[in-house]
Amino acid sequence: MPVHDVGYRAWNGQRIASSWRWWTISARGVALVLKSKWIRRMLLFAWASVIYWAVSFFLFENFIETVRQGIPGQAAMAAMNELEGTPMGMVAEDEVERILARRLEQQIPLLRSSEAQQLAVVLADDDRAHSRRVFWTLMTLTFFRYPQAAMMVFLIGFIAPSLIANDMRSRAFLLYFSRPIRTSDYILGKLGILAAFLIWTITLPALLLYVFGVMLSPNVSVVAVTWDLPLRIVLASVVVIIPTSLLALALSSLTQESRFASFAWFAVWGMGAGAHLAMQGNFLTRMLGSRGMLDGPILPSEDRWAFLSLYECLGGVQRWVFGAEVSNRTVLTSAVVLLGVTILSLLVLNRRIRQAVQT
Amino acid sequence: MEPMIELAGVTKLYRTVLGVNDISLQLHSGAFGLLGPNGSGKTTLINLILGQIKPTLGTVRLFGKSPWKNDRLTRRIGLCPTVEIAYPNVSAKEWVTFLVQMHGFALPAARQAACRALELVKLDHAMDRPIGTYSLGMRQRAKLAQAIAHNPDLLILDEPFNGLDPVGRFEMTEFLRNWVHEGKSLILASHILHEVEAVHPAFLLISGGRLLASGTPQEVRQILADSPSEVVVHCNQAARLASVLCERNLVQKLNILADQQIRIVTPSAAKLFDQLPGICQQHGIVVDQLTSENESLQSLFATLMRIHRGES
Amino acid sequence: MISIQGVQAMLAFELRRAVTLQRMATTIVLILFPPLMLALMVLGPRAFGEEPSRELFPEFPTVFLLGISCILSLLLWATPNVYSEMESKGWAFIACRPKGRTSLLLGKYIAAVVYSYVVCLLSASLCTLVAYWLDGYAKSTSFWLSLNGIFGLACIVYGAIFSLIGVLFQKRGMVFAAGYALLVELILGFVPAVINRITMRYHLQYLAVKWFDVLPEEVIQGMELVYGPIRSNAFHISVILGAAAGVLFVANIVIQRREYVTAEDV
Repeated sequence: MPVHDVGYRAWNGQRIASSWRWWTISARGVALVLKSKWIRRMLLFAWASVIYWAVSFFLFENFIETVRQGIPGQAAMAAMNELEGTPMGMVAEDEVERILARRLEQQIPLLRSSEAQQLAVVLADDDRAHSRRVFWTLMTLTFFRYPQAAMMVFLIGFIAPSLIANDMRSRAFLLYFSRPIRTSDYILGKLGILAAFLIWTITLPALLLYVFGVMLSPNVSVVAVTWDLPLRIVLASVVVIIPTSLLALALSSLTQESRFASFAWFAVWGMGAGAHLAMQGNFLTRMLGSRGMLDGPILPSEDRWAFLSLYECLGGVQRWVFGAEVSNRTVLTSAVVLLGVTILSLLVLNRRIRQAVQT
Repeated sequence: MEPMIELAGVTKLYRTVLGVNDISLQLHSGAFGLLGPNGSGKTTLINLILGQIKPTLGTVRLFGKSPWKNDRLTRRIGLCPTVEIAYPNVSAKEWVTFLVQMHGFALPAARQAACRALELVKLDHAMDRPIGTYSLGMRQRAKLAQAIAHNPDLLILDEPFNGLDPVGRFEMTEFLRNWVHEGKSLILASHILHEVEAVHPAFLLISGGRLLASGTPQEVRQILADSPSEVVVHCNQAARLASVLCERNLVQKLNILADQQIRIVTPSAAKLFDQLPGICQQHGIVVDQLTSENESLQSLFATLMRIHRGES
Repeated sequence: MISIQGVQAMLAFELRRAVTLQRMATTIVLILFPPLMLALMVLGPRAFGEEPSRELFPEFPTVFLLGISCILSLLLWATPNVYSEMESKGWAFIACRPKGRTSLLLGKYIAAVVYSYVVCLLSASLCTLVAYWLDGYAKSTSFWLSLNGIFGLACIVYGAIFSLIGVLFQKRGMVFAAGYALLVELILGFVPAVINRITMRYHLQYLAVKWFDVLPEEVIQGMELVYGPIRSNAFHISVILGAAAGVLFVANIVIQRREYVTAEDV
């Protein structure tokens, strides 16, 4: 009669490779975070802005078609009317640019004055490919800089503060590190949770925006001009994800009370943005601009004070990634700050986790 | 006489989770042991009594009034919840004083009441130390002190024995006995039968959100005795004893563990214990030791569930 | 009804608990941020051989920087009113006291206002000194008094709003409060339409304009065209205090009626 061993049996099946153990932490973490209905709502909301931005692509493509192909579209007609009565040879080039900029601003609500001017210069030169490239870059950059950056701050503010603080509080480290898991696996696992949500919030919507842009263009020739944009989107996402996620995790590891980590996270962004704005001056102009504080040259190519704000540092490097106009000094300063934040956060994380395990 | 606590058809749902299910009871002043396994609905029932949560169905009355949004009633109640205190940088004296002040006591009076309560629970020697430096047992005492400091009529304790060492358990039992002896009311929630039994209360047995039974300790013992239980007997003639017990239909299942040891699963422990002395005398069997291994809450609740299902 | 002793006890206990390394470090950062930035605004351009911007300096940069410190301080103090007790397991002990929930709300609110106002007071004093020492600013006394008035009112009203947010969204109150500060007070506050008048920034901004009295008449008229009319001081102050009282009233109703359930309670 066969006798079956029903006692403890060691696992004889295949084990996940040690280099992939962080994946378990990430996958479980993502599943846990997704239980929150607020997170699910935010993730859905993160995609809403894609539609708004995609409409801008359509409006722009429509604009350059009407203006440049002589189709009597609304914008072209309006520009012609303004110049009516003036012999074309006598119209100064900057006058054409000014009118084009104004029309662009009226047609595409997302375009700022400074961006419309930049675009009008290229359009006035009758370089459609270049103007398309400038516009697509500008729009993708503003998509990254405004709605998705705000989503990123709030989403990480939602998720990250409790990720390590709760483990510290509940001594969950004992559960983690009684398994064959290294500190690096733990950090990578937690980083993976944030990265997954940021990819969902930033990278995928931006890629979808690109796809929408192509679909809403008159022909697929736009792909020839903008083929590298998806690669730049991925690179710009990495620039956002790594320093911000590591910073959020480091803040979470510094306390057992998650509200302090939340506070520190918002303080970093609030104080940084405030300090940068203060150094920009122009309070009166900002207050009385046609759209109040929301208007104005937000993306100067030379930004001496970018290092004060993490947001501006991200912007500096992202502008470089997207090939937008930005000075080398600004990019270098911003990159050094982001690298510093990344290294410092890693050091803090490593130290705090080791300390927690030892006590 | 008006009941101290009255629940009529009370059900509490947390979305799709059932907290308590159609509970009706009337409790007059006295001591009550609220007994049930973990997750049975004890804390929900306490929160309903305190007016911290509103019943989804039914009505709750505390001292004749609805406790929901009527926190004046809490003046007469002292609550020692199951949660841990987590104010690491505050001393027990400061914490208890603060909570007594919340009852409207002026600071000197509150401080005096806090010191008295901490002395009663034997924590006066450490009351100025931050709570973060306390052991689990000391934190439990501090929790008890805040519950009694304002001299309530009804003391509600949720798992008060958690984390206490044997001496601490004994002292807590003594304290609660004295509390009841002074004529004050007590509700003691626990999932461990003998802890509650030591205070001699009437029992409320709750499981799966339902009030399964209530009664005196003797009545509970009787239910236990009538329920199937496992008994291990050490005697000089194990095989003989096994044979006689089988003949008399006192055994559901039987194992001879060794020459002098048998394990019996009996349908009624009371019947077995009743007949065993006679059997031993008749057959010359000498019993050295007799232990009942699962005279526990699980078997009690299993029995009660069977009764509710009409199986016995 | 309110239990005065309960509120007092809560306030004293909350301030006593605040004596921790984390809170002290946070406070120091919040106090020093505005004066340090103000100093940088003067010394920074000078380091590059440029003249610092004199536009509305030091009044408006100070209000702007102190505003950040004030909002952040209230974010830390007022918003986690319920959640901090849930997290530290104190809720069960406090909520079962007579008027315990109201005492918790008001005690924590007053503690948040007092603490944040002290942060603003100290920071405003340092800003005044920085403006005087580094830029020879002459109207120090009126500047300091105006700052105290504006931030006293800001602490009262934003403390109340953040307390309500904390009561409504106890677990993620800080995120919602930060969202409120950004979306309502910053973005809606700068929209040149009627909607900006529902923000507290609208009233505080005009009180600042009147009390500092540094803007030329035509600029004020321009602001009125963009943001809406300036009213009397009494009107703006009444709206701010009325809003604070109203918001606290709503918060009290919510905290009384809501069932705060933790996993341990189920």
